[in-house]
Amino acid sequence: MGLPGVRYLLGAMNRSADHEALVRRVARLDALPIGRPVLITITGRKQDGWATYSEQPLGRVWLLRRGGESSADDGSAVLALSATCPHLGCTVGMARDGAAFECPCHRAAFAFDGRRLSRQDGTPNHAPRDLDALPVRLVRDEASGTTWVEVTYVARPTGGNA
Amino acid sequence: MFSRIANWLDDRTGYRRFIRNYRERVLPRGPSWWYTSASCLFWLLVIEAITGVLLMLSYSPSLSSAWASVRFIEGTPGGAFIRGLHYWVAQALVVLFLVHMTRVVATAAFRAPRELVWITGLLLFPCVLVWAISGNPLSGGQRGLAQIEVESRIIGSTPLIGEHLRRLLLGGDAVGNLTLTHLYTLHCVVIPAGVLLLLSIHISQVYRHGLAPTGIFKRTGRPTPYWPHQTTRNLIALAILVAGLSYAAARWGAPRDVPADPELEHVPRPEWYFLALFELRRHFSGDSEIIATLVIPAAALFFLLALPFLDRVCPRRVSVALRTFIVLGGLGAWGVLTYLPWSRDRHDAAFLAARAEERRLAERAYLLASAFGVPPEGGAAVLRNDPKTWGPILFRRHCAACHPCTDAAGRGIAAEERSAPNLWEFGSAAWIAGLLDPERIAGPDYFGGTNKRAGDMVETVRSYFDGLEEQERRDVQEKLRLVAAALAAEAGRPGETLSAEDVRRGRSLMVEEFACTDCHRFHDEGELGSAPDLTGYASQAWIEEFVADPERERFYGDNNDRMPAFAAAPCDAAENTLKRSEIRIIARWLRGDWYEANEPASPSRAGRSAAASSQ
Repeated sequence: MGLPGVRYLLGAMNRSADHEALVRRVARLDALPIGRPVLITITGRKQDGWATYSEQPLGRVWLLRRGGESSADDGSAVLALSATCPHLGCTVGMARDGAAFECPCHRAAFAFDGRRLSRQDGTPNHAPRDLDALPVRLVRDEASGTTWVEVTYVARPTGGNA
Repeated sequence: MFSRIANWLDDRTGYRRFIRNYRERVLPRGPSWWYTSASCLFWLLVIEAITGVLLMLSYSPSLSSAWASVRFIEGTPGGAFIRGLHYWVAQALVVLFLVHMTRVVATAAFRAPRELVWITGLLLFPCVLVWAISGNPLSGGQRGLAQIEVESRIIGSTPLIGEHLRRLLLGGDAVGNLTLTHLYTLHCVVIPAGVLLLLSIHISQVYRHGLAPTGIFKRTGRPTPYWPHQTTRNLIALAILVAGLSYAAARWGAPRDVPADPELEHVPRPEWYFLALFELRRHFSGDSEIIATLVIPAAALFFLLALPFLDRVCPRRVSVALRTFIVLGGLGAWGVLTYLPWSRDRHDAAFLAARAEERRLAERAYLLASAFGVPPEGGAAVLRNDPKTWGPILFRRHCAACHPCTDAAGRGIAAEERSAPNLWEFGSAAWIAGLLDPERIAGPDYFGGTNKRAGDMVETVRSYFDGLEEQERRDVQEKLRLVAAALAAEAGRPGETLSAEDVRRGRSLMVEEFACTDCHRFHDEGELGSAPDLTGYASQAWIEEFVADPERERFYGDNNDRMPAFAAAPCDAAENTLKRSEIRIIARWLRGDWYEANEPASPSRAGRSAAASSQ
């Protein structure tokens, strides 16, 4: 009973990530306002214990469309940042003044490009690293003529450097 | 007769010896109200066990069933009280523990030969905290699941073994179904087993070595039997405590949480007993955070564990000073560190507003669940199927880039870059009358931001008023009011009352006097292609089709300005921005079509009709 028992417990620990890197079309390029970040949710198939869900929220991503000209296939027109705070995993939201990101848990502040910011009241910014940038690609759908923003979502562990 | 049974039993079990042990207990300096903390703690633990088992009869630990089963318990007779008692007794346990420990430290009751009493008692405190950590997420609400997310990451930051402990706790690398089963097992089996073991050693050691004198609180007094002097005090204290906790359970009950949903905004906070650690970590960052989360609590625990042995080598004055420092300094520091974040949040208007919004959502979820039940997907689905809750969220995400939805005072959802019509009360007689008003049709609330502001419709509406005198203008306005009534009848907004006579007259005016059907199709009159179909205008089906693809012949066709098609491809294909079910929610919200309390809970008012549930 001991050996299978230990294997059962270890199995609980070693269950691997519920999903691999996901590639998703998340938004139409023309639906994104320039210069203002938009929070979107990545959904997908998820194996959660005994249940398989076909459409579960897997992560949230801030999309920021930059101004200026850019070619259709160049992903630099859009910046995708994982909204999972690298400190302890809370969802990073918008700061009160709307000029930066702020995590509601311990008020870590980030600029719109993901860099950590120091806080005005002097207490340290708890985030161990900047917000994680995600690979972005622009995909043009020839049939409808719309340009889609495609994000590769990867969940990185919190704490320390990525 | 009874004495023969009693003799038989005593011969088999020796129970009389246990009773004698209890009756022979001596209070070294007489009874004291301070001693009642131990008895109260014990009986509160018994109450938790009993209420816990009763709750287990109906609770189900999975992400889809946790909130639903808790709501079910709240609805059963006595269920809300049992759950409330379980919650309030848990809060009281933490407080009473601190009181008990304070008394023991202050009176140096941990001294030889009672070291094991102290050690087992001290180790019971982390057990109570783990009980609390594992219990809160079980309700399946936003609060508890956000807490375990953060708490598991704190555990994960422990060097070397942290990540493994976290995975063992969560059953993987993210909070999921297995997390709840693991927490449930911890809460109902593992911790109770540990507590039983520690408690039995603790109590048997107290019996063996007797009670320590209450030191600083009672210097005089003669040895007195425990029974009945202390026993009566215990029972009175317990009665008052249980009465107070029962009142709290009946009056307020346990918190009714909003169902956990990652897409609903939530500001996580730990429970009140952890606020001190929450505040402490604010002052450490990066690699040094572990000092606040791990080093300081562990150091405090080890220091307290070693207290009997430290005390032995201290001279008396130092011992008194040390114990005073622990009690006053420890409680004082803990109190200040708890008060600071609580006070900060109380003065944070945005935080209070977010909490108030969550309370409203929790009430809404309970209301909808009472009316329509909870689907198998769980609590989150209750709010996602509710147009009143989810409509504005979807509207903000997908529509508010261009469309405002604000009333005359500007309240509602403002547009990012306002260009499309204001959809407040879209399809109501008032809205349509505004569209047919020559002063407003090309204004910002209607076509002002679109390519239609210089189009045929605007020209036509203005032409109705060309060259007319004041009285004639009022006549035309009245007629257009009837037309608006006729179109509002097509929309059929819930709660709108229209006179059948107005509608009938409006319909004939549309065809005859104003010749709307020259461009618009309306029932049997007119053709599609040059202007939007007025048949069923602004009804549920019309809005759904329109939002799916405004460039259909039925709507704007090639004259569409900039509105994208949200579900042009059939059957929720991957290219569609919105699912049909989401469009349905938005349309219902725009039409004011949602359930409110005091309505009969007919299936048609549910957030999702049974037939269309697969979409």
